[in-house]
Amino acid sequence: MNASELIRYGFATGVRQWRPALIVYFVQAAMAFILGMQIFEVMNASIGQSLEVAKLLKDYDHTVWSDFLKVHGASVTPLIGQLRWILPVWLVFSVFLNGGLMSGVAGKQEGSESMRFWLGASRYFFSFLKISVFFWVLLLFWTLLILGPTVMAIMPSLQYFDSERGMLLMVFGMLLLYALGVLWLFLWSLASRCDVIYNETSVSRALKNGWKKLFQHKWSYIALCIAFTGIQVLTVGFYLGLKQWTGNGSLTLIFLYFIFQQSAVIIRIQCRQMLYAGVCAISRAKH
Amino acid sequence: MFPSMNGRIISGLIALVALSVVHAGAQCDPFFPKALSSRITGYEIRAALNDAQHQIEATEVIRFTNPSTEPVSELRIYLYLNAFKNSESSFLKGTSQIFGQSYIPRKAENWGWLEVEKIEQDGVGDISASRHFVQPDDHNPADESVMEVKLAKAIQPGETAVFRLKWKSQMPETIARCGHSKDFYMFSHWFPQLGVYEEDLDGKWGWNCHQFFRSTEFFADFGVYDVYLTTDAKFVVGASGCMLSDSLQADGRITRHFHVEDVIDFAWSAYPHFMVQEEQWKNVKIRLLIPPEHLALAPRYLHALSYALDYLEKHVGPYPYPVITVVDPPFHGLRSGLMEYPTLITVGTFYGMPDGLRMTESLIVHEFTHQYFMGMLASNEKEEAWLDEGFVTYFEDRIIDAAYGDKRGLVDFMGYHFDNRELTRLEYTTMANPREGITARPGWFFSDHNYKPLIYSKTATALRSVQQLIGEPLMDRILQQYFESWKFKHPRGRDFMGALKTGLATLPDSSYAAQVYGLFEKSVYQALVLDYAVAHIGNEILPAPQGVFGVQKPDSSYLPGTGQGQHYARVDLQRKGDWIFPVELLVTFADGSTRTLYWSGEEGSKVFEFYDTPDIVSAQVDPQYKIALDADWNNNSITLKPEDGGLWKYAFKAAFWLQNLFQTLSILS
Repeated sequence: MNASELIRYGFATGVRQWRPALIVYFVQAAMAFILGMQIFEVMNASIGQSLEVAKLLKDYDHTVWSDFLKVHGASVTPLIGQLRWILPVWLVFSVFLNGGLMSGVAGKQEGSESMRFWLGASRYFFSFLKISVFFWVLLLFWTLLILGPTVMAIMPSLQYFDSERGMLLMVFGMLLLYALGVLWLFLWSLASRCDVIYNETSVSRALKNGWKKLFQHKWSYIALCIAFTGIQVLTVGFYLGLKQWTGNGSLTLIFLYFIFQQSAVIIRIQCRQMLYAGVCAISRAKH
Repeated sequence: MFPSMNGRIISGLIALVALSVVHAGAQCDPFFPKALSSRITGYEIRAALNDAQHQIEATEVIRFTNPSTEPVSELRIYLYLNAFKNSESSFLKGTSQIFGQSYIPRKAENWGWLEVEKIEQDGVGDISASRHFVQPDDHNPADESVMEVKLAKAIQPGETAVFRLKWKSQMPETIARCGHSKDFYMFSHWFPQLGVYEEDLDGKWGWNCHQFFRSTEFFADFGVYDVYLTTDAKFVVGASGCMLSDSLQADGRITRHFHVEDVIDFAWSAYPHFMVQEEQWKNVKIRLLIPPEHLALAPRYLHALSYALDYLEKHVGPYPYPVITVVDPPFHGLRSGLMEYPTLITVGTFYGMPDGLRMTESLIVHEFTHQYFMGMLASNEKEEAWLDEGFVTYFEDRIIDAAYGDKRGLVDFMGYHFDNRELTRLEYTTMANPREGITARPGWFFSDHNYKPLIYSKTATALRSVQQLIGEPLMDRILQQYFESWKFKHPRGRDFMGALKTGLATLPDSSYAAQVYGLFEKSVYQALVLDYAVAHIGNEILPAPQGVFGVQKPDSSYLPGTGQGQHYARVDLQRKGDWIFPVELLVTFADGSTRTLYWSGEEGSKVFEFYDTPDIVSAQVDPQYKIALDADWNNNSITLKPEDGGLWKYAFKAAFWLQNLFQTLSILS
């Protein structure tokens, strides 16, 4: 299949398999709302009865927020601490969930979508966890290699360049390089996981095969990534732009934007699913 | 005439023309028909910059007129550059970082110093031998920022003495304000300058000439400056006052002559890459020196400055000088930015600064407003910095918020917005310990972290509170009267307090006037915290009267308590801080009616009771937000009908962005 066929295939497969996407959505939403609603509770308990809170309905109010944080900031600090622990737990759990998504769109197993999701998630969990740990370590190295020196070079570069424009160009260039590196790691990890599913190989062989596959079909992989990442960026961008235009200053708008927000999250999960479908189609095409 | 003589004359004329390139005309007219100030001092400086060595060699003539009734037998002279001579100066001691950046290690030629090689007194001769350094404030023997010179011949009251100096200086690689960064120079407090000879609070005459500390700025007497600056031709130069002429020297360098009258200081800047933008505002020439990478931001600077000129003329008084020069340093020279000197200010910005971030505008307005309080009132910034920085911050807030809108004046970017007044108030109210000291004390008693919140923000917030309590028109009248009475006279804190008291006395309610005066006085001379809160509101139906009533049988009667009792409502207020100030309370009832009550604040708490009224729905202290000094506005009110839609909005938003974070972070999972 060429790139446009892969994109169409990925889109169709993802749309068909909306049930697994919803499973991932609900798990993710549960974790996010546990934290998000705590913010509501803390604010409600602290300043919920103040007339100042009404200002937050209409618009952002810096004074209300700053006075709140100054007096009640100690109540908010534990929430940030919770995030520190939730994130690593989420990372491991997402290996399980993404494994379910990927095995569902790989189409190798029988059974309903939900059954394929749970079976695949548990079947491939440890292989995918090893692959994830490998890429997390690579990401850490890549971050230290690129961003570390960039951050350290910012101040000295101001003495080297005639103006801060040079420093900004340097930073943007390094950020672009970093992003390209992360993109490559991401696509390599997807190709490797597909190889595990289709070839039932060891992790090390899957990594090698995935690297080869990525090199052979890099433009297809990149096209898939641009397409489905682009949809996500456009979705979030549209949300921000629309909100800027309409404001968010009434109960009706708050409700509508809540629906929009959650729809955007589901779209993002589905786009990930569609990308997995396209990537797996490339792997499957040779088998 | 003989041919050889003709030839010599012609040659001489040609040389004369070749050697001098006279500017088509002066930049502006700096001469006042009548002196604005007492002109106690006069300076004529001839300085040449050696760019390769970053050094200045200069001769200087200082004229000093004894303003006192006693002879003056010594001079005290600021040598500010010596603050950067080594790490043991009073300015640098105790820290390795200035403005958040380390200044050490550095090579020998990157430190700064100023050496007076010779000083002569007209009619006396060489008095160099009597020079020595003094440290009147901290007795740090390593500090050389103040030089004392004993005079062989005292200066009699009213007499003008003339001193001729020869000096040399090394400009540091910029640590704070002055110095060089690559080929950018900022020359501020760069020459030997007299302290102020004045009468102290006890009526004793003497030199007010403090050492240079990190947390102090500058204080000098009014005078006339004639400054001849010789630099390489590559430099574009901006300076205080007007350039009267520039001439090309035989060695290819240019000498520029600047003149400025009735100012307390002279500063200048040089950079080969400055682009010059000029505008005229009434009779004031605005001269903006800006590096090419910031040129797109020039209209923002010019618009903000013109607005400030208009606003201050209307609300304070006219700007009398013919010019204002604005120096925008290149980013690597930003440590020289954000400062004020008479008729020259330094600002600072960043390439590509978005329109919704108005630090560019806020800075230029702040620094220009200093022309009034530092430049013309010229109070002692070392001892009473609040009289300058606090007032400037107050007007900066007024100007920026008037120009760019309430709630959005300073920042309006990606959904976040706030104005100058909000930020100023929060800088004070969010201090970790607002009781850590009073505002009205010398600068060297402040630390790096409490200087700005107390001197700038608390004073400005107090002025804003006064304005909101008495109204802007009366506030303007008070400030205009203060400015008109004290410009060019170095007012002290007590002088402003006197002007404030006089202005407030025009209020019809004298006890209210006394309260407002007390509020401001406490804000500057005491370290208190002002915080009022509504602690509780309640509504209930009391039981019907029951029991035995009357004194003795058979006159007493028994009521069984059937039927409904009175409706009872209450509002509990608390004064959580130690600052007592009367406050308004607005009570809103369920039928929409309201009642306004007053509390003196003397007690720590107060209960207002209401009988047979509708239910109280809400109660709010200071409903018009007049008292900006209140530490927490969120606790100023309680409502029994909260509108928590805003809290839901932010909870949903937090959850949404967490979901996005989870989704993004899991790309390698």
